[in-house]
Amino acid sequence: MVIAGAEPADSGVRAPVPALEISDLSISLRTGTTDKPLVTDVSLSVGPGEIVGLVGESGSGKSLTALASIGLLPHGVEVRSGDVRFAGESLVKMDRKRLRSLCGSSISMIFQDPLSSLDPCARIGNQIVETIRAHQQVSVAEARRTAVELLDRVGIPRAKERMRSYPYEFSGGMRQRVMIAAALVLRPRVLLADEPTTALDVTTQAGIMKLVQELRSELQMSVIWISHDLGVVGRLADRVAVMYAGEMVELAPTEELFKAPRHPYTAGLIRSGTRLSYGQPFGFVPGTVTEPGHWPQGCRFAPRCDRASEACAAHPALELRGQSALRCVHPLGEEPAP
Amino acid sequence: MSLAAAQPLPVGPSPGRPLALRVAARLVSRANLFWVTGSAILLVGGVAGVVIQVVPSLRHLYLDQNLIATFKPPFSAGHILGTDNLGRDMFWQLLGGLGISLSIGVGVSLISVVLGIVVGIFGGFFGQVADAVTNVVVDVTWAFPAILLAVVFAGWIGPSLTTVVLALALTNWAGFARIVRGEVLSLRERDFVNAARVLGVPKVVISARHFVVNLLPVTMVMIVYFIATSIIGEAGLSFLGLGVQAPTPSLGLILTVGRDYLAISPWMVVLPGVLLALGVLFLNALGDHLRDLLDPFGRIQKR
Amino acid sequence: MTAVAELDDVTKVYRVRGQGVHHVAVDHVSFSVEAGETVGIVGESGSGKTTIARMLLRLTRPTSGRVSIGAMDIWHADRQARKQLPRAVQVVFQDPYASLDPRMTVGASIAEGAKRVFGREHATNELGRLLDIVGLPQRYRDLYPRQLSGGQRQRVAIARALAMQPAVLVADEPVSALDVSMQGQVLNLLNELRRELHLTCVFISHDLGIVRQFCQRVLVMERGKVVEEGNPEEILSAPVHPYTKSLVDSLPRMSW
Repeated sequence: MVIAGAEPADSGVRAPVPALEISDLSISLRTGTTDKPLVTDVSLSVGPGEIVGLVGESGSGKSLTALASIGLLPHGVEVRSGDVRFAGESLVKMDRKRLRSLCGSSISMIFQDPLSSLDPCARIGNQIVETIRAHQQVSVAEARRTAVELLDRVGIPRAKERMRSYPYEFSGGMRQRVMIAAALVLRPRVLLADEPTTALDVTTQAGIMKLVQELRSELQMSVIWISHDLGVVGRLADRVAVMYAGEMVELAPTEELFKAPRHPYTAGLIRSGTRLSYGQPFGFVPGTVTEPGHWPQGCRFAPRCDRASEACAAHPALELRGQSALRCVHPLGEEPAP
Repeated sequence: MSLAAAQPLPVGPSPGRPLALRVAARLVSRANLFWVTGSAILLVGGVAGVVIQVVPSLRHLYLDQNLIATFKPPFSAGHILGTDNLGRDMFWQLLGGLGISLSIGVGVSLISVVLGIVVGIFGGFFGQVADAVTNVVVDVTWAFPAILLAVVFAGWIGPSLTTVVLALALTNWAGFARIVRGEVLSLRERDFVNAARVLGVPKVVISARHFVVNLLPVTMVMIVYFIATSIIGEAGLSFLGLGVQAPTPSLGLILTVGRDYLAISPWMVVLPGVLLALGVLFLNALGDHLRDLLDPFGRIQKR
Repeated sequence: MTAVAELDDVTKVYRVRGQGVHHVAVDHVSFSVEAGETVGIVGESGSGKTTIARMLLRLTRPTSGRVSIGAMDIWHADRQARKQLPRAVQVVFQDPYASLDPRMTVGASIAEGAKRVFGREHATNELGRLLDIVGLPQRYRDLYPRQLSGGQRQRVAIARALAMQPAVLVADEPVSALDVSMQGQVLNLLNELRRELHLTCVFISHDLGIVRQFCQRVLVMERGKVVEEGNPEEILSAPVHPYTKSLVDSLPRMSW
């Protein structure tokens, strides 16, 4: 069932320009006089209707990258350099008023914990209607109609009655669907999803993933799906970007990434997540992630990499090759390191 | 034995110094000079007040009577804060009274804190029956007026410093026990407590080893609040004649005597009153400040 | 062979006082674990798997049924007999940040239980050996948990459990809170230890993939009941119960 209602901003034209373009984004934490880099030089563009998976572990900076795109960086954390452009406009340099008008209508975000992003004291129907009327000139009745349609579309049974329910009356999975409904009610061009299914059961998770895929097709919406779980992203994304220690280390179409990973960390992640038969040793990446502030000057993955050499003492640059990118001087599939 | 390689982590921030030192360091380094100097003044004053009562050769300072120099106002010759109805120097009387107030405050606090911790942990950690029993005891004690207990003790052992300490301590601890019980209810669910139980560590040892240490921030804040309430309590009981008796100086005593001479000179009422107000105000604010430092999530409630 | 650990028709019901509402966390579950076996319990939140672990560890009292370690009914044994339990069963919890007291050094945590049973001197001597076994450098004994990574804290938790020389190790989601790239380290360590020390292991997880690689037998739980039981390989290739089927279907896709 396709949603009827207001058309997205430039309807009819399938723009070749990326919906969201992150270029050389660097984010750091300001404490007193010191500046601690948390994300350095991240570049990523997402085409219309594309799902890009952003994968990384703790300290990778993946969430911050998304939060910066929508102007939700926590206090003290700031964009140091680089840009995030939406439909040609810079989101980083935009004034708050314009950013707020874009939020929810053109760019939307969903989070891991729907309870903290839905007002627990307001009925969900009212919250969705409020969102609609904050951005569009429609009557309450019309807004309610749209809301009910959307709740129905995301799979909430008896949607009309449930408009009067409070968030706590829903189960985790249902709440997440409500949050998706609230995020998508204005048919945004871009959806940022920060670990939306991590806290859910696997069965519920599958349902949410399917829903997002369908909505992506219906709305031609671009999605950045952030996760620590490479397996989840593997099922969902068209392209996968891997982040490590605040920077992007590999970007490739999904199948290519899994079949032939080039960065040793990507291979390590795949190895760690691959399940074998009984008794086999578990894959892992030796060592531990270095904390922001303790990153080495050269390649940040080198201390844990078995392919590291002296060449890795120089910080490798991000090489772009069409839809892919790689930050490594000794990638897999090429000559083994000396 | 070949094991998965464990790369040593670069050692992080310096190993934990004791909590007390860390708090002290933060208090000083944050340029909280106001709190530090204020507390220092209070402390020095209190110690001085105790010293002049304990050291025989100094007792004359607050005991010397001079019946031709009574009711002198502040800034009189030789008496910076004037004299009382018996010509005794007000400054030393007040200082002595401050010493008594703080000593009682500290004594009551310590007793309340110890009782509160023991009962609170007992109720929170040693089973439902223990909890039910302690709740009843705590509720009854909490509701019991200190004055009534003071009257009973005064009748039994006579009014004195001991009476005040007992009356205040035996009613005060209940509020703290409630707070401790609440803390223990959440602490006992933490996995390191469960692990200790599985390791066979007896509950009493767990309480001492894990709970008390984690209760220190709450305890420190409550001690400061208790000192403040005890000062008021002591002043009140002495004012009513149930507490400290002459010649031991007491702010409440000075107040109650001064009441009769209000027409002649207001200073015997004003000075101890102002000192009491300032002292309690400062202590409450210090408690608030400590609470902001140690308990930003507001689990402690002032009485 | 007597079972090393056994649940016999165990039920746990949580009652909300006065409202008549009750929640059945564990619903008439029975299973036994033989010596040297590694049994996995798989389920999602609300399945009851953690409650079962807590009942085995004598932390949560069952509403009915019998929980035995060896021949002892642990919930009805006298205090004297219960003193044996810490030498029989030990645990590794899920959250490495919560399972160590932040105010105790690593060495003190590891020796906490052992020194009561074996004496302070023995426990201190053993400390060195235990740190070796779990792959931590000796100097870590004086560090505090906040100076360690999640994976290293789990190693400390393992060392603490092994210090008691238990026969049974209950691992409640021991790697779920760790970064994926480090989970393998801890899992391989556990694997090696159970082989060398002939440990019996009850491994609780929501991840059927890990359980398949780690366990010889698995119980699949849903809403307090065991819905399927057997060899993980067989269950994965031919799940019978619809819930198991959905679990298998949602396994992450890592290969193309």
